[in-house]
Amino acid sequence: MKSMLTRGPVKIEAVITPLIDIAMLLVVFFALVSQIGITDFVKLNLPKPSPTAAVAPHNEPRIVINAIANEQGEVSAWRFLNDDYLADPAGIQSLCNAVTASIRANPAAEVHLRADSNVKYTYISPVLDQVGKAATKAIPGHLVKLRLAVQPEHRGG
Amino acid sequence: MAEAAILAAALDQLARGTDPMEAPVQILDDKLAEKRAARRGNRGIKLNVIPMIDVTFFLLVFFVCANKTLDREEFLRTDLSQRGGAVVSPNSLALDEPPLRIELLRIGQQTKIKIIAPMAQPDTFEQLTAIFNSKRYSTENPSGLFPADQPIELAPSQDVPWDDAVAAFNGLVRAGYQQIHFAGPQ
Repeated sequence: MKSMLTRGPVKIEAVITPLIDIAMLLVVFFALVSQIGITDFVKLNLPKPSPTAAVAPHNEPRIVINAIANEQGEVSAWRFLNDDYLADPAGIQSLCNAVTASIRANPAAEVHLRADSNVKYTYISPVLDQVGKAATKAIPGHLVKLRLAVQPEHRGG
Repeated sequence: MAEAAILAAALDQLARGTDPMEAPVQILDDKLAEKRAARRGNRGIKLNVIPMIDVTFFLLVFFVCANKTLDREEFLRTDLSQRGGAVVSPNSLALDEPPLRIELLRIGQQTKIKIIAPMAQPDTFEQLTAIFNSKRYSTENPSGLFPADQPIELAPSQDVPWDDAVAAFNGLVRAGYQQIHFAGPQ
């Protein structure tokens, strides 16, 4: 009894510093991941060639162009770096200028083209043409590393 | 209990002919030191690993989910050779060899494959792969017509869905060809 009294009242302290550390880390992490998601990935029903000759993505820098299309396969706009470009000649020219600037800044970058499986080729063709020209315009003699995004069937979705 | 031990030690000291008063003091000191050490042991530093395990598992689950969501697509390369780009030049004279042209035509809800060359016409993309694979020249197939770097121009018509254009491209890549290009806008 005596020893209990000499020990004095027990203090309960919550150590919140590690909690704050982890909370901040998670906030920063989620912010970055969501930003990457918004910039690069638009939810699309990609083509599913089977069996596919496609390869898994590498860690190389990338430039992602997404086709924003309706159910009839008509592209209304092209999304590139959070900007939407109309699918008309002027819009595609603006897209080409933006891609040119990106390739000039990062010549090693791959250009990833993501389009819905039902998009009509008439909308894709001018972009394929302009992306090739953008690479040459950015750096004379430069060949664009164009990659066509597909969804492997074995992974579901 | 301790008193009995002291008494026993004192008797032992007496029997040996030494001073019995020195030994109990020594024993008492030892006992106190033991008690102090035990108390110190109770106040030892403990590592609480449960929150760390919680957070680690949470991060693990998150990374697994994020990996599945973001990286489940693959890519078809269009720069398989350094000789050409994604789209063939409108001036075909600039190419080393004239490209072999494959047209994709939309008839109703079907896409028809038409090879602009006097050869068997495929009905499906699987057949396209099989035909072009059999025509590819290699040491195993010396009777093949086309080398692996034969330029091939893929020309889908305007209303062909991207899915079929990609399927044709994929079929030709699977057949072992390295210079497949999409035709320019018509």
